[in-house]
Amino acid sequence: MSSLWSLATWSEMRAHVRAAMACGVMLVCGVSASAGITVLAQGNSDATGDPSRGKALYDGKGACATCHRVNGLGSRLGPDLSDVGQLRRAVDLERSLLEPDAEVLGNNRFYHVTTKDGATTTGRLLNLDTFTVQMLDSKERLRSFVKSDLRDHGFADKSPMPSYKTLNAQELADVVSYLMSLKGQANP
Amino acid sequence: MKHLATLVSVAVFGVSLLAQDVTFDRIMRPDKEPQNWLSYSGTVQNQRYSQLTQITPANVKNLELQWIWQARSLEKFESTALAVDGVLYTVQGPPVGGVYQVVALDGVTGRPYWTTEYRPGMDAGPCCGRVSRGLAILGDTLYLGTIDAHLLAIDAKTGRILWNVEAARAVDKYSITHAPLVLKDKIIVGVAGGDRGIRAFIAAFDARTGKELWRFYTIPGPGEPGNESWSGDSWKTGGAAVWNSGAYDAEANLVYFGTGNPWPDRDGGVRLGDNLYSDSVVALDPDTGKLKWHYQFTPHDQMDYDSTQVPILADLQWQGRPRKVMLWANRNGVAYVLDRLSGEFLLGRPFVRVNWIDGFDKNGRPQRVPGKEPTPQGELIMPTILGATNWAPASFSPRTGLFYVSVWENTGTIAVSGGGRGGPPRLVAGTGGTPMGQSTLTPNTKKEDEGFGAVRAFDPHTLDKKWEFKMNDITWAGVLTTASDLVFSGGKEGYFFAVDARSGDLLWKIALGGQVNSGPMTYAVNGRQYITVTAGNSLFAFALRP
Repeated sequence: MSSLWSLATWSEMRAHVRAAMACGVMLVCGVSASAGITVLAQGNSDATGDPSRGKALYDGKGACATCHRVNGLGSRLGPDLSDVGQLRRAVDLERSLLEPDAEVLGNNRFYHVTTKDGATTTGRLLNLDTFTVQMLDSKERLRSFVKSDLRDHGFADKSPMPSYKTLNAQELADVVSYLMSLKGQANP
Repeated sequence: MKHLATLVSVAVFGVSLLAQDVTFDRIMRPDKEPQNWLSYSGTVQNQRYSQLTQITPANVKNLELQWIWQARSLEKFESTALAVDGVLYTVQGPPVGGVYQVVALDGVTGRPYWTTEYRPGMDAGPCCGRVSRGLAILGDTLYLGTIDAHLLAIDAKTGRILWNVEAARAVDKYSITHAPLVLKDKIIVGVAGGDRGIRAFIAAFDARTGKELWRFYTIPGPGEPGNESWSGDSWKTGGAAVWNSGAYDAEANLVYFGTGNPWPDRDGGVRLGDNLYSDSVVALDPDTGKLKWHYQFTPHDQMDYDSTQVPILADLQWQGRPRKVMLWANRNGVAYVLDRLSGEFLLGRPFVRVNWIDGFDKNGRPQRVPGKEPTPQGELIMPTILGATNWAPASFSPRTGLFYVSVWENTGTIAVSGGGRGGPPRLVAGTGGTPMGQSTLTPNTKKEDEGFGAVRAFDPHTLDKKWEFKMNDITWAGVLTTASDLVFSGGKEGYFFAVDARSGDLLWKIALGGQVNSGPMTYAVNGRQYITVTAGNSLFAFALRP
């Protein structure tokens, strides 16, 4: 994890995340569903997910915490997934896992800036106005930039979330099932 | 120095802080006292243009904050203050269960002379904000329309409420949110509540007693021309509200008001026809309230395209001859030039991306794009139902000859038929989820193709865009121009800024910490020019560093 915090550029971060095969996301929207859910994984087979296996994938092979946070653990760069099971439908989660660029809501966008001396920062966009940019950088620092001090700035072309088409149907169903089990904490 | 000399010479009238009675003649001759701001947009022509020239493109960078007045309420602060001989009068709307604050402030120090409170009745329930856009003054009396549809007269020297009349019943969903218009010895107001199913009207009240003198219904009743433009009984609850101030042409003796959308807003099937006089400008005889002419911007509107923008009156050379015109950038995305004496349509052009209109017939009636109407599945219609511009007052500078408008670009709504209040949900693109504006800052992460705000300058002869000042987020702020060729405006981002009136180049800015939801104004006291604007729940005053 520490190696990620030292990443400076967008491309490095994206490459790192892809290499880690994290699950993660830029997930949002939707409603309901619960554990043990059936998804039409990879478009051609039904599979019933197991949330405990999904959590293991999330914590292990998926390295989802590289970008995401659940109940206070993990990165703040991607959306906090603590209550994603209340906010999204299983079908939406599956789509985000397979096609992460299909839908990225405004508050999950990434932005890059390059100062006039060539230093580049990429992170989660928090606010963009006529004169300034505020973001959470890859080291989870709150950063503010004045546009007139920048050589270049703009939205990231793609979501940092890699596609998880490499997961098999069962693994995908397990991960979705785990995510759907996340309903938030009563008293966070 | 030349500018300063000009300012000082005109400010002689205002050296004394002993405010004189504001006669109607004074209101009609603002050129004699540019140090004052005597009506909502400065003059009854609504140009929101000041002849003050002390603050210039060269020195505007030296503007400094002079004082702040913080209101109690966190409602949107939409008022434009009045300035009378060194005294500022303004009003902030009430929170739920709370009171209006009407205040008289020293224009130099911002210290209050008096504060008056008014608690609206519990039946008050405006659709879109418990706001006031300002006061009117005549003689030594201020006038306030309230969200419980009352009209108040207030002593400008003490704040004492002199009389309080019920213009309409709040329990019947009526309210008043705009600054009243003073005409001769009358106070003219219109009623809001269109999105709550009222039948709106404009009424004149005796300035001395509050007695109603005439009433013009913006929806004709049975037997009156235009009633046939509503199917069945839909005219009874058709809206056509009035929620922004009007204009007056003394020579023609005509008063002009814009009207709001027909109700229900996106369910035209229950109100077949053009739905006169919704989404229109109506020209009335101010002595009788009789209709002289009208022009309907959006016949049979199904997109909530209120035409409640402030009418701007200008005198132009039009195709080789002088013409008295009315400039109007409409919520429907089209800018218009009308002959204000006859109502004749002279020119209309989109000023943002629109997709519902592709031209006009010879009478100026819009030609709609087939299919661009709410459907059961939803149809993308541009601009958004919140408009290409909304109520924020625009400006016209006789010096530059340009028409300045706060606009929303790249916005649209997935319009679903039958989608009135309580109907199916709809998506509104480009506004960041803003319903009708807020007072506090909200993050913006929109891309340009998802909507942005701008101040745009147009040549009214062609409606060609001459320049724009782009903002990342949308704007609810009005525009002020000055005779030193400055344009002041702001936006949802909370910046207040000045740009060059001829180029749009940014000259000065300040972050005020709350959304700018008003039109700026300017005044002078003892030879010093001030600029004011509201942001968040506060009124800010700026002047040049001494």
